[in-house]
Amino acid sequence: MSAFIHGFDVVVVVYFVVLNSFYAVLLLCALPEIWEQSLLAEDEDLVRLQEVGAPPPISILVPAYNESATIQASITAILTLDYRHYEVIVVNDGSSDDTMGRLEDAFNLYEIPRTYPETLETKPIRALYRSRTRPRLLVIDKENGGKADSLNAAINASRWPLVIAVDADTLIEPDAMLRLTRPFSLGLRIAAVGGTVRVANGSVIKDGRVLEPRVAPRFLPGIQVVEYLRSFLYGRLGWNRLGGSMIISGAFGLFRKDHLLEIGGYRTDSVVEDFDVVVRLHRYLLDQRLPYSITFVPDPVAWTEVPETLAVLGRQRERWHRGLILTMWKYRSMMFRPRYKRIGLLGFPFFTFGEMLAPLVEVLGYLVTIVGLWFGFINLSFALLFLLVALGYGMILSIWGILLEEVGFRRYRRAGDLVRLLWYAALENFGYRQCTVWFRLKAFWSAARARTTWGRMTRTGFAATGKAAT
Amino acid sequence: MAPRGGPSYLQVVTGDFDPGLLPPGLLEGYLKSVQGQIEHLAGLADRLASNGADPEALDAFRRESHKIRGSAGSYGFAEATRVAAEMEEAAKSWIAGSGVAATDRGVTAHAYVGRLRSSFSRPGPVSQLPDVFIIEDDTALIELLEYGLSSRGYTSRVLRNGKDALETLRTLPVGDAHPLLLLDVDLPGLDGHSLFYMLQRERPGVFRVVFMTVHGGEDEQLRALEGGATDYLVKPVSLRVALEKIRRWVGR
Amino acid sequence: MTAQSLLFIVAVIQGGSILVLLAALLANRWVRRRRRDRVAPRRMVLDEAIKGWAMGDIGPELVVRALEALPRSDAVGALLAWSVRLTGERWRALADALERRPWTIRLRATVRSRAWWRRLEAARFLSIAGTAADLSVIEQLLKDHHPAVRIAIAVALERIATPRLVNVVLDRLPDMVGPVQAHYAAVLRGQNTVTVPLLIERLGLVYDPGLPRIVEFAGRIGDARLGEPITALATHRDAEVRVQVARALGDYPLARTVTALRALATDAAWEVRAQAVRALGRIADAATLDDLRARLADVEWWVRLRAALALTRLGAPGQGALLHAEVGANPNARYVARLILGLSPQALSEFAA
Repeated sequence: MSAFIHGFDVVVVVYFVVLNSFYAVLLLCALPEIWEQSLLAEDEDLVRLQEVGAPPPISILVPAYNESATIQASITAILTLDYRHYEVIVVNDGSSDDTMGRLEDAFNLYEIPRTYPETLETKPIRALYRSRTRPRLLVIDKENGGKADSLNAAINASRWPLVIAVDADTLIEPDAMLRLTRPFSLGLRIAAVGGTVRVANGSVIKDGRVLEPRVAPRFLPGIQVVEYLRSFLYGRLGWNRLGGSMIISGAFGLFRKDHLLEIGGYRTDSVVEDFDVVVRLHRYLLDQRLPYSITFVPDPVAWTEVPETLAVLGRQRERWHRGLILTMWKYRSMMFRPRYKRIGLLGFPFFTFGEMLAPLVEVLGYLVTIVGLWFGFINLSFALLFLLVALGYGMILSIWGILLEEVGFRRYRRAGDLVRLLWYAALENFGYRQCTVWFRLKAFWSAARARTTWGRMTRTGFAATGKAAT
Repeated sequence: MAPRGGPSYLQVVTGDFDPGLLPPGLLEGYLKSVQGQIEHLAGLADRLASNGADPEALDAFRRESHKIRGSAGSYGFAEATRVAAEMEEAAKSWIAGSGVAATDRGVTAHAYVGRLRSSFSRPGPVSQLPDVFIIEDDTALIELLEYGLSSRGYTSRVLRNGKDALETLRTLPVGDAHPLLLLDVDLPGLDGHSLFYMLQRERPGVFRVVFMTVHGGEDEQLRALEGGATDYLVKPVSLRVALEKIRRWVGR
Repeated sequence: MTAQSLLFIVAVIQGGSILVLLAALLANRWVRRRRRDRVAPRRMVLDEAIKGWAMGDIGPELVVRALEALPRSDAVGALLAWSVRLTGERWRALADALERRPWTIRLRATVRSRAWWRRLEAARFLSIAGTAADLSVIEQLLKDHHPAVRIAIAVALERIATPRLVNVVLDRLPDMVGPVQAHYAAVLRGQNTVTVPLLIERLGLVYDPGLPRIVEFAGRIGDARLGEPITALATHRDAEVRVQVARALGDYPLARTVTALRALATDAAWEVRAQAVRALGRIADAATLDDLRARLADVEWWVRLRAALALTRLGAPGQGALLHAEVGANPNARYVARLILGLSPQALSEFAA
């Protein structure tokens, strides 16, 4: 028995060493990427690109559900981005509140006939509107069908070959589009590209723009700041070198429309339609043997509000993990297949064994360690070793994320913010992490249930994040 | 990847101070005396150019900057206060022996004086109607235009946000004048075309509007001109050409 | 190795790493601040010098002196920043003044560097301050491997364009994506005397598989002399070439062009028809009213849309045709006429771009 417990704990320790070392590899890959990207991200180059009209025209797709409080401010902000040619397509997803009314008032909408070909199937469209005051705006009023359905409707109505999906409550920085389309302006052939999403809680916000970024003073959103920094600044950046991004945030991702249409648009049967569409895109392009690249550019930033309460956070993380599990299961045929190159050989295994199974392993590790300690099979130092490796290593990686932010991006000017970040990085593993493990664990249960009740997708609402006023 | 908008030491001036409560004539008197102080500072800068460690000059520089820093704020010249504060700090560091090398102090002091001069050309009081409104959010370009306008003797005012600009301009008392608006097409808050359209509707013919934009295509230019704009300036601007055109548009 | 000793080692490593990271964070802030304090006054001096120079009050020598007081990368960055806001002949005088300075000579030498970021810096510099003596260097940079370097040096063509350099760009056209093509077309805007003869030559290469891109580029350049060679390609076998011809001809309002476009408006490929109809809209010849009206009932949605948009440019007769179609027999024509008639003028101008 003692040998079993000891052995199991060794396995857990080894698992976390390997996992965290992979994160360290991502970090190492991210460093030269950040260096290169920062050289390309000079502000003045952007002005120059604008002047010569190089940036390609884009369609910004904004699904909206029950956003009447903020819809005017956010759409106005999206309509005044620093970009020449773009259109904004807002989809009212059968809101039960006054979202449509607000849009009508704010933008002086008038109805126009719907005569574009509806390539992707969606829930019925009630009406199509344009604005008298804002020629860039197009509004689709349709019956409720979920975010993926709304995005598909917007794709049908869009006129430009590049589409960007954003959330209605995302605050996009004015120059973010210029930066996000930089790979295209440079002539690279990209199928999709993602930008950085940052936590807006605690920052000074005016008119839908973040004027002064600040680290949230409260515990829960503050820790998420660190988390997002880690995840975006080297989580995704590192993958640029390792074979391409498998996740492009649904809050801020640019896609080539032709590929999206070829794969049938977004899937309405997935809770994480953004992850699902990227994996499907990879599979399609690899199956077709088309040369492509799906990448991540760190300097364009979109700010979003994160949950401020444990309850909302729990639902969000559980939903994300459930989506991860279901997606990994759905596309399991891609695992370890050489035809899917690095996505199949590196990305998939990482997401399955690393991301997906991590909470299981961690919980078992805790349990076994506690049992072992109780019964005296394990000595304290071993338990501490386990903790150090699992948690301490994680903390170091968080601090690395903060260092990358400080060196590469410098969004947080005040010294106090830096101190807060370090403090949260330290505290993250003492309580917060365990909570997310629990939420993700619950996801296994709900994923199993969802598989058996396939077909009816509960709309949890993409407005599930807490809307704490700032 | 610092936030964009020009050199980092520049601060954004957005607040509008309204000393409409000042007795008439007081402002003109102050401006005259400030001109004298600025000339004095220029003379000190010359002295520092020949001897960057001149203790008398350094001390006088510091004292003069300190005076202007104090007075400018109460007359509504926020930017001038900032520049003067920078000058005072710089002078202090020079006296302590740090900061810019002695050989460069003259040139740096002249640059400060130049900025100070520009910052006083912006009319502080809201009640005074400027010749030109610069409605633009690019800091470097704003500075360039202000410099050019002030050296040709025009007063100007900057509005950085489309929404705020609309609010200001719709209620602005203009009398018989037709101020010139240098209007950027891509503004935060409300884009230039929409702003123009609304102003045309609410106050037709009051403002002379010149659009500024990057490399305008034919369609864009037509759109602006057909809508009633006076003219169209393409960025990057040639400053002297733009000033000549402005002379024609402002009419003097 | 006992768990105890392993624990100790791991703890030490982790503790050490944390200390190193914290030190790096602090050092980074401190170094940043020092640099900013050092550079900011010099940058201010440069800015004031540039403003005075732009007004014509001072000569370029003072600007050069201020540039040299800055660290090299800041100097190049500042030059770039001002070059995008300020234009004019004066830059040529500045380029000449900078030519013989030691630091620019060293900067020019870095074009041979293996590190792309050094070449990028040199490209940025030369795009503003390049002179006729730099032709071979500019050519080298235009052919560089790294896309950012090529894009950066492209701006040099605004001032310095020889047939050889333009040919380097034209050779590359088949591989270029839209945004990059637009970039080159924009920088070559003032250089038509050089570009147009070269384009005319290439437009004669009927069997060149890269012909569609050449035609597209010629369309972007839009010079009058290109009208005839482009029209001559209206009957080319390759549909892609015809598409680009149709699009480009919208800039040439001549009888000959209109004839060619009317033929293209009934082409087999819908993309060609759509572009032809759009071009007819831009030319707005009243005689083409019937052709456009016929296209309102085209089988393909995009052609119908373009036809309706084109009709809006034909003034009253065009409006009349749309109104007629709105209540006419063909359901497709009815829908699209209703759509277009319902758009505001601002929306039309945006939509019709």
